[in-house]
Amino acid sequence: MPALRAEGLYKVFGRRAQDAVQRLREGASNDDIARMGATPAVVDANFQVSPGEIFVVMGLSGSGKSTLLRMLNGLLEPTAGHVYVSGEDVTALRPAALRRLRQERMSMVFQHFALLPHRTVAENAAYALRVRGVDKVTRLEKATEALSMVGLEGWEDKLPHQLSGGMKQRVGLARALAAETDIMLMDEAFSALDPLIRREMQDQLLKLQASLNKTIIFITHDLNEAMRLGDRIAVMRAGRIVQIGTAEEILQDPANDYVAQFVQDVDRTRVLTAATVMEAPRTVVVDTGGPRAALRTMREAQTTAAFVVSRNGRLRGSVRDEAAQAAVNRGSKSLTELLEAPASVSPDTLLADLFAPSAESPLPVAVVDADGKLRGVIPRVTLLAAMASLTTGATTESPLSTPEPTSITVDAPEARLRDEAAPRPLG
Amino acid sequence: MDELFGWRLPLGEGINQAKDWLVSTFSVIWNFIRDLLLILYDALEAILTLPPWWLVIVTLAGLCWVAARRLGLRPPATWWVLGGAAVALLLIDTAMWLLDRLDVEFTPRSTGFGSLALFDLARPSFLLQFLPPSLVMILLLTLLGWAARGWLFALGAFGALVLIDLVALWPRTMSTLAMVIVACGIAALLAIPIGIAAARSRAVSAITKPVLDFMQTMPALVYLVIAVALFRVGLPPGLVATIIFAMPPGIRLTELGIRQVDAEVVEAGHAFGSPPGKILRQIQLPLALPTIMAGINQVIMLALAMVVLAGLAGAGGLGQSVVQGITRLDLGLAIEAGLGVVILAIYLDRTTAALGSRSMAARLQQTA
Repeated sequence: MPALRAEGLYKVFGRRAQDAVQRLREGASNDDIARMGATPAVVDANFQVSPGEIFVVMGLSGSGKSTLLRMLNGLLEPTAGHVYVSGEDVTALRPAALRRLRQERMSMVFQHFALLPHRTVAENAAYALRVRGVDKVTRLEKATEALSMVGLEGWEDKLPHQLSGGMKQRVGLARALAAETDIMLMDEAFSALDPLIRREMQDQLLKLQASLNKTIIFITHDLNEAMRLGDRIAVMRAGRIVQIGTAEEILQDPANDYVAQFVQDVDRTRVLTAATVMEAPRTVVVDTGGPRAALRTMREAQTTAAFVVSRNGRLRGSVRDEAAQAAVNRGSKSLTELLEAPASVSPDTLLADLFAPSAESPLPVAVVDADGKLRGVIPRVTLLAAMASLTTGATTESPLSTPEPTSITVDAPEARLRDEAAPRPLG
Repeated sequence: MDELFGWRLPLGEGINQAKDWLVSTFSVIWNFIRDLLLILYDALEAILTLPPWWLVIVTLAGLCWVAARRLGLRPPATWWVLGGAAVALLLIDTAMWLLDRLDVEFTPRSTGFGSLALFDLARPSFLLQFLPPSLVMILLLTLLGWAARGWLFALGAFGALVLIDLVALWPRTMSTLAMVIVACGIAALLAIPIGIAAARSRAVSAITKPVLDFMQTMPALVYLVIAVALFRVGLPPGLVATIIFAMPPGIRLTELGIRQVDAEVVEAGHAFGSPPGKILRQIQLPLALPTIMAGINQVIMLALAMVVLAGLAGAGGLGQSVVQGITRLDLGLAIEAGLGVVILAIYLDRTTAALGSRSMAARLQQTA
């Protein structure tokens, strides 16, 4: 069961809001509604959030994301549609029950911190518990715990005005954490902080999430923040959700030009992973095969190197055609002593971390999972293409980077003859 | 033949008839208000003219508490000081009463206060056996001024208040002070809830705005006339007119103060599931307090301004002295009384402003 589900949510401000919703359902545009004297803020929002997921809603100012968030915990009443929290219809709750829901199931972090200026840091962090009626000793204990989770131990008796922006937001975060709710709503929580602090807070949130596993719905207009934090992202424009998907899906497969343009400035190397861009390895040889078999495979595939795997797919190393040829000439039957260790990375390595191994190794970077099995390879050209947001099918895969046009590509047997004459420089 | 068309529109008669109808139909209400105001005023005036034993004990003990805090003590030590001072004063007072009861002559002022029961609320303080009542009250006010604003202000207050006594206007001043306290107390009691309601509801705010404009700009004299018609000449019409005239700033500033509380903080209260009543008490009122206190301060000032007009309606106090001075063309008396009003105004203004600025929210605003 999803932790939270939004179904057909509409929010229209102004007169004749219900009429406007009806028109919108029939396909009217935002301008038509504006002419009626109403303002559509959210139009037909549908999405689900799984428990333990960070769901990011991303959009420019005026796209309706803050309005959407406030409909989720009832701060704003939807003009139409429903919100279900663990199956319970929030939109149908009476005020007292809605308050109980907010006390026990949903907490919120605000853009400008929203701390009570006349109360200490500890009392602020304990506020949610105080509303719930927890006694003073217990709630201050829990508040102190939450404050140390966010790194503010020792600051309990200070007043908010004595804290910096980042610290104030930590208190806001501690307050939401101390509430011990399943769901956390974060309204541009880091947008008011400077870039360095913002990054620290994102790291902090990810670290906390790893141990606490809360369901988080996060609003932001910062693409990189969305890509960094979001398990899934919803892109909003003019009140409508335009696309929902993982960061990679949105980057690789934008639903329309708006989304494509929206994400074009994202640092792709920090979003895409090795798993996203890797290709199937074309030349793979089993270690029991021997140098002759390896050479034959390489010749057929017209490559000058091959990856060597064990019977169950575990990567053993790589072998080059010259070394294989030399082994054949020697009469050796084993591949093992010819093996070189290729650069290898795990499937969830970010592209940004692939540049160094790719530059240092003449061979494609091997993508190896936790069991040591070879999952794919990433040639240099593929890496470049991924950054340029070309789909991987456009590259021609080769284990070695192809030589410059000035040199002539010859097929393997003739290359072997040439090699016997003089050593060939590596590409 | 003065009338147009030979016929006179009986507007004045109509109004008089309406007034008579209003007075007689709701006479129960008017009389109730009149009696209530008189009771409050009489009690307060008696206290201010002859400070009773409990007032002196409470004030002096409270001042010891303030002094303890100024010296750096913290609770619970300050509570011990308060309790100790109160007990000591009570013992001294009881001893004095006993001596007076037993007719022991030790001061020229033994005035028979011992004839009253020990815990009679009207029994004057033992200090009155040594000092004239006006001086006792002046001392209490001076010490209050010290607690609010420090010794320099206290010194000035002492001098100014003694001056009033020296021109024989002390009883009238205490009468005026009693009127101001009753009027402002009632005005504050009405203004703050209305201001809160106006802050929470756009409809209430829309209704009150024109009413407040009316209340503030209508010549106060007109209120007086209506009030005299309803409550008969004397003190009550003056008080009612003062209350109506002085209330608007209280309402406006209460509404303003609450509306100006950071909307995001209030939203946080809602977001964590706090009921509206708790949000008002825990978030909005504490943070709006400096503005609300500024409103009360203005209420007091306006009330004092009304005092003179209240004198025209026979309310007594300094207003009556001013009116006497005007009607007899006695410039000296008029200026003496006017000076009394000014001194009272400055004293009340500075003292209440200082008390208002001691709240947490006010201190935060000062550091911001």
